[in-house]
Amino acid sequence: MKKLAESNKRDASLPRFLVVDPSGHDCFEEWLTPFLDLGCEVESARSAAEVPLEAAPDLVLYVLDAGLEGLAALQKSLPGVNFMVVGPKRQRALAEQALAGGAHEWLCAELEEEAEGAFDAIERMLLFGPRAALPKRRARAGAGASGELLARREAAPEVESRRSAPPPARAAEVPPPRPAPEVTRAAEPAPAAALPEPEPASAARAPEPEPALPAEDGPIEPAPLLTRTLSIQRLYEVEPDGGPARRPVPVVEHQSGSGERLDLVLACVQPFTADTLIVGVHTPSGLHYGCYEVHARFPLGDWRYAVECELARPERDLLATSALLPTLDTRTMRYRPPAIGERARAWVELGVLQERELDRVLVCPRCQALPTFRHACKRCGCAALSEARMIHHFPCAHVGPISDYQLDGILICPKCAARPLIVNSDFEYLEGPVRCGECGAQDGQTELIGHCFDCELRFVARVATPLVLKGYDAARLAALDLGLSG
Amino acid sequence: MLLDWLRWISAFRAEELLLLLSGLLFLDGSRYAFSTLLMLAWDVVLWCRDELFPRPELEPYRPHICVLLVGYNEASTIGRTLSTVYGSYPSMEIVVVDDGSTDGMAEVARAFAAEHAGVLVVRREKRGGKSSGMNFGLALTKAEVVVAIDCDSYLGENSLEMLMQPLRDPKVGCVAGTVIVRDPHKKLIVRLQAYEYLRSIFVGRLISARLGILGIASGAYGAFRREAILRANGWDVGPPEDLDLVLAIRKSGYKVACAQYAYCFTKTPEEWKRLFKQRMRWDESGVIRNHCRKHLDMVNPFAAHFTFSNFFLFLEQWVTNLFTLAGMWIWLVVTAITHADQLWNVGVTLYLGYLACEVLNALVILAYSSDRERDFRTCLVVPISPFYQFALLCQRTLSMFREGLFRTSFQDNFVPKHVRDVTWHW
Repeated sequence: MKKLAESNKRDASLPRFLVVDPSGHDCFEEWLTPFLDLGCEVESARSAAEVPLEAAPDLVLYVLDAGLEGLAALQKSLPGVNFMVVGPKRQRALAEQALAGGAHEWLCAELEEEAEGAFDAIERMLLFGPRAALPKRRARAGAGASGELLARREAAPEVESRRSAPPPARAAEVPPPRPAPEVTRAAEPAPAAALPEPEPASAARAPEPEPALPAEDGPIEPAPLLTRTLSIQRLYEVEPDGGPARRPVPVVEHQSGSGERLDLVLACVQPFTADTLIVGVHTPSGLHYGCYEVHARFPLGDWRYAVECELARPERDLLATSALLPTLDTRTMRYRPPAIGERARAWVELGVLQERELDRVLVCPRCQALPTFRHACKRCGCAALSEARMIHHFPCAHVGPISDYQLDGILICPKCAARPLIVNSDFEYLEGPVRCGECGAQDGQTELIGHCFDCELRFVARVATPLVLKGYDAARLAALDLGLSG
Repeated sequence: MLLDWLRWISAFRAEELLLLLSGLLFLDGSRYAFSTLLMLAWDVVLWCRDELFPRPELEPYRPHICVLLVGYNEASTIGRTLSTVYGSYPSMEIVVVDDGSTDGMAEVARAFAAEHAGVLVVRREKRGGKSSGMNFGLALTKAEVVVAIDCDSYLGENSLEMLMQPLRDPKVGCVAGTVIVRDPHKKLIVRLQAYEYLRSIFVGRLISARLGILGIASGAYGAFRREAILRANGWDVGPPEDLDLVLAIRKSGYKVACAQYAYCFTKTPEEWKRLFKQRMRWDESGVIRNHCRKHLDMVNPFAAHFTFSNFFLFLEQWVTNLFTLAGMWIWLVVTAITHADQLWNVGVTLYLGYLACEVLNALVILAYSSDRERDFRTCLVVPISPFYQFALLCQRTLSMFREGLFRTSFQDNFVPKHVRDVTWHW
């Protein structure tokens, strides 16, 4: 039994890892480095017998080389702990047995090599619980598992995790109940002016535990193991039109809740009416922003408010990629500017967004719609061109179309009757001019001609209007930031 | 010294003096002097006839033509050539063939073509030689007459139309334009060449054409009837592809004419070394290769295409290029032996005799000239022309030996190696 690494301070809220690895591979240190950096404790054991039972870990990484007997014994001695078996693809049969026996996830990875995605899998397990407890959509996106295994895991009974056991963290973090008359339930946030029409509020918006994903994906609640309070550095109220509020920024006096859900006490200088907040959070990789929807606000007097908010749904997320990038209207074949529109400038000034040039495209000089381009006749723009390929016979300098040289399936020079001709030794091919099938003009070069999708204008490409596509980047809060920041 | 020479020359009897001056007959200038004087006299007679009995003027003959500009690394000159050619004739198209240039010649031509209709520019990725370039251009046009112009040459006023007039006769398959030197007074070497061009092309080809023995149309400027080119199977691997084609056209039964006032101004070498190299190429690939080897069947009286004009053409070439060359050296040796103690006086005699011939040549040139001031200034090099001619004589002797013994014309870089290695070495 040894500790792979131990930080100076031990935080009880941080997860504990147990690695059961008979060979003592080094790869775990690399996979778990981000967790170690945050102060997580990682212990390792050569076999199941060495595992101390007094401090139950949050996640057991069990290397399949240690044998399934030890796994079964460990599962009995550590009920409710998430088990992730680790082994390469060739141990698939063993992994299937382990999954059938109660292991929650198979991390399919070569232990001797750097395993792409191993860290992601562990992180996902910590944040959302066993894959079996995830909706199908997420499970399908998992790496390293075959469809058969997935199907078996989806059919397996949900494993109760200590941290995922109901009531989940979200329910536990709801602020204490306040007198009913004082509670002002936040109205459904007004959608941003240019944002897509939001879906009608569903039961998922209720404060009680509810499925976070659409019903067709199954009523499965993610069971995050890590729920840390965010270190809020900045907070901006969002006006109904999607721009930042033109009033002094509220001061966060108190905060609690997970990354996904925040409970704040704000000190304002004006009445707090915002339905959406942009929250800047300090993370190890810098300042990241999240968009939160306000569900309820409680006036506490003296312009102080207790605010309940939750990470915004994609359709209401001001920082969602879809709102920050230009989109192509396939009906008119024109680019539309980002949905965030002119309000983006204000967010850029605040540092929440960064403007970025995405592309430069050529559009129709008349109507700005997207054209198609083709190499076509310079004179009439017709693309039906035929190219005359010729042969140059070196010894006699004769040049003529290939058809002149072909006789009974072999190449014979029509001038000097030399035969058979060998390419590059006796002759070379020459690219003749192209001949237009429409007007009959021949030219050494074609012209790039554009044809507008919308107004049907045909034009030479060099007169097309260059259109600069600009979008915005936002340093968004990632899953790991939500769980482990701070 | 002059008195000594006068005493020496006055001691000669007439037949002895003629025998001494017979060496002049071996030199080009002397032969030109006699023939051009005869031609001038004949033209004076014709001019008098036309003045007395004026003939009705004919409508200009204007067939559809295609100007072929084939070049290699001519980016610096192709633009101006195109601008002088374009629009100088009512019914024309231009085909520019970039023979694998590395200096962006095709781009210059394409820029011109983008603004001018009827200009076709094609580019070969790999250099293939001028002959194949010309054949390539020929395959891209259906014009009745093809005009070959060098990419570094400019046309004179109304030149193309004048070049077309001899083609009114359907028996004429090819017309030689008059190539004269651009900026003739730039340097002495250029002026010497300019005078030589005036004498041998401007006037000299007129004589050959009148006699029906013109056997060349300069590649720098010549018009070819398309049908005649096809019957002659197009251009063969050169050099000289122009001489070769003209002989093939004559072999096909066509006549070769000359348009004396269809000017084309070309650039000539400005260094002696380059001039020497150019003349070596011309002479090596001329008489020995074509008149003595490749087209020798033209003088076979039993061949179907035998004509007396072709026979005399060959005879003239053999005489003027081979026999006179040999005779000149023999005469020089004999004279040096027989007048070993009087070489200075012999030299002065020959110089003065040759100078007299060149003065006659210059007078004939000025009589025909359309720009007498320019040509008079050019003819001022006549006093030193004999020395230039003698230098060329030495060079020609060397080239004949090299070609006769080693076929050096087939090693000329004018033709790319991959082509000259596989072509027939006549």
